[in-house]
Amino acid sequence: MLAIDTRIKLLLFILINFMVFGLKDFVLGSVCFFFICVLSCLMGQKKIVFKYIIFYMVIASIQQLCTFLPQALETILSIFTLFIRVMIPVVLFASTFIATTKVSELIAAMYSLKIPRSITITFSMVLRFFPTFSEEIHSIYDAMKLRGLAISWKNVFTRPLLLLEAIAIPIVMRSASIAEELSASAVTRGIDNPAQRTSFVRLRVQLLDLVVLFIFVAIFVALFYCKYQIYGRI
Amino acid sequence: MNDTTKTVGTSDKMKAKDFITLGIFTVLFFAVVMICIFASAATVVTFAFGSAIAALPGGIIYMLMRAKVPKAGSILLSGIVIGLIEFLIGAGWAVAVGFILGAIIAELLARIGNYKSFWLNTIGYSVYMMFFALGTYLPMVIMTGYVDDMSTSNGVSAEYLTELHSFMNGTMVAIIAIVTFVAGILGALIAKGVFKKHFQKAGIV
Repeated sequence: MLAIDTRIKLLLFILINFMVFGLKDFVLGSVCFFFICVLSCLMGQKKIVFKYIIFYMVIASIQQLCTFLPQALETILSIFTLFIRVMIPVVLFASTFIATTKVSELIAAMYSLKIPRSITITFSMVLRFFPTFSEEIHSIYDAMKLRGLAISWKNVFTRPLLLLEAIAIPIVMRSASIAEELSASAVTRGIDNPAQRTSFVRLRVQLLDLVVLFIFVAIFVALFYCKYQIYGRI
Repeated sequence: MNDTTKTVGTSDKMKAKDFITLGIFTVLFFAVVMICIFASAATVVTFAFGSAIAALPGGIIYMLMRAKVPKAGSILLSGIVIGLIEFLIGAGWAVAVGFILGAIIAELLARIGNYKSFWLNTIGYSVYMMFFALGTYLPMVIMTGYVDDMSTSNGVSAEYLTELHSFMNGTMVAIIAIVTFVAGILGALIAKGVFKKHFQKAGIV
């Protein structure tokens, strides 16, 4: 399995973003999607790749079938599917990125890239809070069910505002108190210390990482050259 | 940095506690926006107004962030972080740029009112959401330009093209932006009501 350095992965991510938005053509876009699939497979995410290939084919066939629909519907649906089809490669690489990168690796990468500490701390807080957040929502929902405020069709139609209030207010209250607790524990562990951070994670750029990066830059240039040949502009 | 904090007056430099508070409320804000966008994508027509729908409940969280951390750079920081997350989940760079640009303008507006003025914060929030909407929907308009390119070689009917341009064009995006702006103001007013009803009693604000 191919393990790429986190910083190189971030660079690839940016490259793929520009590649995908520049190549909306069906053939060129599909070639680009193919290379991203290969990369994800090499990184050991065969399951995700399989799912997205099927999704891609479904969307592409809907796009082809659009031509048989009435004019107004065709217009809306074709733009909608085009947008989704162009986005699929980016989302594929994003899920590969998330599946293959540990939070601590990402944060070590951010420190080594000299990103301002305010951004790094806030960002790592966000990543750490996501699982806590879903736990909180589950317990709040349990409490709502006890009080007869479960999300059912009856409740959604007869008292939507009360329902919204019952979800939103406790979440905000809990978040505020979690923020207090977390910052107390972070400050006692010396988060305000301005000294250079050390990390358990060792980041190293190896030859293989550079080869992968080089291949993708080459693909980038080649695809845009093809585009220039077809459309006469970048 | 010291010079800017002096001009801001009451607010001082952000500390770890502020970063953590901002981080947590950024997650809430992000969750609200994502739920609204996904819910609105159920039908194609409401999809265009997903950001406007998100602006209503989002106002509560945004205003809470301003009340909890009324310091220089707080809006910009949460804007950058939310942009980063949007980028990492694969929403495309346009959304991230939209968030960051909106945050810069909101930051400048809020700075005039020392981060405490309700109306300046409200307008800042509306602009922030408006730029988010632009970042989300402008790429779709640019895609119609691509369809134009293709039509020259593929022989798409002229009727189709006029239909397409009447649906997705600059005016449509302008309408979306204005609706989102108004929804942002409404969201801030809702936030004011919720603050009075719940948070001031509980001592959160």
